[in-house]
Amino acid sequence: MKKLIDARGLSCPQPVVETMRALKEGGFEELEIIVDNEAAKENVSRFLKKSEVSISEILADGNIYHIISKIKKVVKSEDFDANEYPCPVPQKTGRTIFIAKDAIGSGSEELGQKLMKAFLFSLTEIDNKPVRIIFMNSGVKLCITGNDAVNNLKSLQEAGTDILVCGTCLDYFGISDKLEVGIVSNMYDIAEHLIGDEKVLKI
Amino acid sequence: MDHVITFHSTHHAIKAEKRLKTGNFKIELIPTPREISSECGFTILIKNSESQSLAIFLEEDNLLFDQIYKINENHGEKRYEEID
Repeated sequence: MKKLIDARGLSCPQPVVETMRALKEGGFEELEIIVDNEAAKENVSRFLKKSEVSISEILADGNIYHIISKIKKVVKSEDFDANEYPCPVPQKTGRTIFIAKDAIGSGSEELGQKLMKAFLFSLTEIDNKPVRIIFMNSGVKLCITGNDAVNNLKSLQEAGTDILVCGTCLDYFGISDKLEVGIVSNMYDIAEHLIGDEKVLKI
Repeated sequence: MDHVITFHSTHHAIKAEKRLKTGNFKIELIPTPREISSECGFTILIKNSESQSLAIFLEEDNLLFDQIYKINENHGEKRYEEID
């Protein structure tokens, strides 16, 4: 008896959930699970291994994977912890801009602030927009109610740029409740992006 | 109708920006559009404006400026038209 699970189109952790259900029900000697992305393939494979089910083969056809297992014995019922099967968000490639001040350069604070606002405006006009902008220290002030830069940042966000704003910095300046654009982030996420992102530019 | 105002110096632009804000204009200090000049400079963008009321306000306040342009948008392409 063969059981087929077609997990194409299911988002994490559904493919693993379906696999777990099937193993609990039993009644088959061969199991084939079809998934349409690599993360699901990894997660399902890992779950099968944890459940002491040996995988006979994995057939790959582009992005479609067929995971085939033969069930030789009664399978031990695994407790399913969704956190062990994370679904990675597809990585965007492109430039990350790290803005650590609400002004560009030094010499004149007034000029620097005008330059920063003009810079953010020009980002809305060019085709090759940044994938992500991270704000820290006084840079977070660009994201709060009343700042001229907010509308341009909102346009960028709508066009697909992720805006990350340091929560500690917002708190330090006492403006946490005035955030108008972007999501509140923390040092760990920010550090991961600064180290791991493809291209990082510090302004 | 949107307009931009160019200036002979960045200091004039910054001063005009401060004054225009008090006059209830929807303004933004932007880099001078490449179509107008390849030199680096600040320009003021004013959305939903009348060139007349702009010119009057600037002159009444003795704000020095270079030129007012009207923005004509055609299929996403902006063209800048000089206004007397």
